[in-house]
Amino acid sequence: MKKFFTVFSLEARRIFGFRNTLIYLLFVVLSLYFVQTGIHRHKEQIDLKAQFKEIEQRKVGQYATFGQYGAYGIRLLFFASPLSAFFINSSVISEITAKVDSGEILYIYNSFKGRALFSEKLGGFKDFSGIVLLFGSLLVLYLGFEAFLYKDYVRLLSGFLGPLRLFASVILSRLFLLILFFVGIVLMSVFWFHLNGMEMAPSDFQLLLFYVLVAIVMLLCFFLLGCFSGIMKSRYLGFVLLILFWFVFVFLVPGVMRSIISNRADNITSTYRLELRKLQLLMDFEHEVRQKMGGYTKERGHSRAGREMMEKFWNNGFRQILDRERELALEMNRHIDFFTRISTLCPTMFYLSTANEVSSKGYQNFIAFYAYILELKKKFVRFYLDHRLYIQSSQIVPFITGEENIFYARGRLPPHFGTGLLVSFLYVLCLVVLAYRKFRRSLIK
Amino acid sequence: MIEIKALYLKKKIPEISELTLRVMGGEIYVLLSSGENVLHHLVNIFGGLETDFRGSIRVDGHGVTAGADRTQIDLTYVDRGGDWPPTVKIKHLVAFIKRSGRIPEDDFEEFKLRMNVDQISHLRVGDLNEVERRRFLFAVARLRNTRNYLIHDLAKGMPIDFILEFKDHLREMKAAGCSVLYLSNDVFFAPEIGDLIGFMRKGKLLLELKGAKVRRMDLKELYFRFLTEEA
Repeated sequence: MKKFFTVFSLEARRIFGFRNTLIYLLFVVLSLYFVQTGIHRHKEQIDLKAQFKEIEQRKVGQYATFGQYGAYGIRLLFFASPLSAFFINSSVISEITAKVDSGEILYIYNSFKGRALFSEKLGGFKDFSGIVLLFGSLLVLYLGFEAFLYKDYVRLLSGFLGPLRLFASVILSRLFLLILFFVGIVLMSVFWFHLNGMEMAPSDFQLLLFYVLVAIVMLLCFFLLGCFSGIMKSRYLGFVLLILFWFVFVFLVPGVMRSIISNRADNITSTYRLELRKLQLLMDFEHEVRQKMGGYTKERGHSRAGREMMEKFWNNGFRQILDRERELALEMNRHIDFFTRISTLCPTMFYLSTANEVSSKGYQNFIAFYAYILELKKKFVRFYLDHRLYIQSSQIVPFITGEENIFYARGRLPPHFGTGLLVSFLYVLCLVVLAYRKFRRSLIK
Repeated sequence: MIEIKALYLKKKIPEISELTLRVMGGEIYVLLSSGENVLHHLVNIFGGLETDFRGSIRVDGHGVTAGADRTQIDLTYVDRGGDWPPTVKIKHLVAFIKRSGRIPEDDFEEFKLRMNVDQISHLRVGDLNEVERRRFLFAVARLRNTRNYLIHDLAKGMPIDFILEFKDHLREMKAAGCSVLYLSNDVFFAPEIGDLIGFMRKGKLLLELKGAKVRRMDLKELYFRFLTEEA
């Protein structure tokens, strides 16, 4: 242990040299800047939510009949958890809205009108988690690269401690400092978050801890890849390898995996086909009404036979329409499962997938939102039918009485999280063994 | 005492063939070889990093093998290599050496005085010139206070004051009964320090002469006979 602390103090001084400290400060400033951006965006979302609620309430007052209410319907807002401030740019879904009406089409959309056109596009690195991936990985690659770069120096130290003890001490010292530094940044960011009047629920804090764990494991992999590059006999080759590792794991592998996912998604039923199937169901009903009642009028609709027809549609046609939507959700769910499963194979993809879900703006929350919309659509159509056919009040009663039209997304862990973590740890273990073997060989002159 | 018996190492070609030599206590053996590879292989074998050899190497009776307990081997290796991190400060290195080397306080104080550590402690390794760096390296090696030394061409290309100081150290080491195996390709420097000088060519020890005898010989001729690539 004493020998470890001897190496630790030497490594700490090497790592926290003037130049490195400047780099760390830049990293801290960038992280806090992007947390601030995330906080700003979340606060904008809070304002938007208030505006949305007010406008939706005012819209109901404008309708003269329930027929209008049913046709225009209600809108639903997807509201991300405050934790999304850390993942504002790298998550899958942005500000999405859904429209529920009495028709067969279900609208889930992201508007490009007005200021929405100029909002930041998703899938980038311009948030806290993106900075950790983009610059954090580069920084730890460099720290790993530098660890055993100077061969004669390493041989001298090895003469005092022996190769294994030196290797273990240097790796553990650097890892400890790296983890300390990263945890420090996260704590600073959380403090900054609270300083801005944002609140984090205990469950969100727990999720953030899981995210930190995944980020640390991913950074460990990059660190060990950096060590591996630094141990190469040719410094030039080592540097090329370092850049290659960075490019491959930060850009290439996620890019290729996304492309695979995207190509595979072509097998999912197209929305046009789905809309057509639903339209067919509706038209079948219309056809039946025309056959049995000679067309639909208000009077015929309010008659006993008309009500029975509508109830029949509610029990059969409408349920089938919802079932079609649920089938699509199931297909999407299977695809998401495939995505998360293959994400576990690469630490950067696993990191991205975890960040996505923890942010509350990931695939799983979309599916939850989808299910919520379907449930609400069912309730809305029932509400519409009841008021249109049975209650027949001249006064328009709002369907939304509280915050039912706001979907509060919450962060989650991705499916196969444990497997992903285990696979990443296995990578770390393999890289440690490979790096040590390479290190032993590098001591040979 | 350093003892090498029938050492044989083959890579693509036999690098070392049946090398046998003995360095007694209080003796300096200079092993000359034109090829740097042979010297590097020897360094690797002594360091336990090269395992694919036949024969035996014993240091004070302890065998040098891959699995050997290195702490039992009373040997210090000094290399002239200068690939060091330029930003590391001397005081931090000195602190590391003090803590990890189990060095007696008196020896450490002597080392500090000899190296003028207080004056150079604020410097970074990158600020030291080559002479200062090798002096530091050798002083560090001496700190370990072992009875056996393996030195790889430390004096090569150094100015006269360094060489004089280095010779003083070697004399002290001899007087203290240390065994020194000095690996080099400098036939002109070898008789100045060596009690015994071995000439290797293509991995074979061809000739072993006393230092005093070599001093009387034509060194240029020896150089052309053993240490040029054409030889």
